[in-house]
Amino acid sequence: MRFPLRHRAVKSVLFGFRSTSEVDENVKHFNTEIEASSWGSLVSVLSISYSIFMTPHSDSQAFLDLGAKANLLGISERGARMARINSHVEADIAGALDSTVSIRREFFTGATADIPVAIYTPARGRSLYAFIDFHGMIHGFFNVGKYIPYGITIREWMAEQINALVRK
Amino acid sequence: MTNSDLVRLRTGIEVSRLALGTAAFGGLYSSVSDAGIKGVIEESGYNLPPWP
Repeated sequence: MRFPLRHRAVKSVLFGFRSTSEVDENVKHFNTEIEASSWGSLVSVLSISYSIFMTPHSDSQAFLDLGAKANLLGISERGARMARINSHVEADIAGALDSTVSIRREFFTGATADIPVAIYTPARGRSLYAFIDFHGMIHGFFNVGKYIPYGITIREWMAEQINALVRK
Repeated sequence: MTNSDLVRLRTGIEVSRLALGTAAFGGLYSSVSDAGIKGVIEESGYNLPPWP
C-alpha cells in the first residue's frame, strides 16, 4: 500500500475496503514501518518478475531479439536512469546516429515529475525553424528501452532535412 | 508515516495518506450491504451525517 507513495507525485492512496476487519487489518499494515533496504529488494524482485512473467507482443519480441543480437542492454540490466539517459547515444538497431546533429538532453522539473527533453540541433547554418515533438511512450516500450533509437533517428533526420531545431 | 497523516495538495485541499475508495460500495466484484458500507466508513474514521 505504501509503495506508490514512494513517488513524490503520489500524495495519497485509496483502497476499497469491504468490511471493518479489512479496514483494521490494512491500516495496521499501512502503519508498519519498512526499512529502506527492503524497498530496494522489493523493486528488484518486481523488476525481475516483470521480466520473467510478462510476455511481450510478438512484434516487441522481434525488436528485443534484434536488440539482443546487437548486444543492447535491457532496462533491467542497466537501470531505469541509465536507460533513460544513455539509450539516446548507443549504437542501435535503427542504424548509426548522424554525428552532424547534436543532441542535448535536459530535464524540465515540474511540480509532480521531471520531464525529459531532447534538443536536436543541426550543424549547418542558423536554425530558422523549431519543431516540437510531443510524444508519449507506453510502459512496455519504455520498459523495453530499445525503441527509443527509432525516434532519435527520425528526429535527427528531421533536424537535418528541414534545418530546424527539433525538440522532443 | 501513518495512515492519518495529512498532506496538502496543490489546490490547498488536505487529504490523508491512506483514504477510502468507494468502488467496492457500488458492488464491484461482490455486493456490500448498506450496513456494511456504513460500518466501513465509520471504521475508517469518517464522520457520517445521519444515515438516510
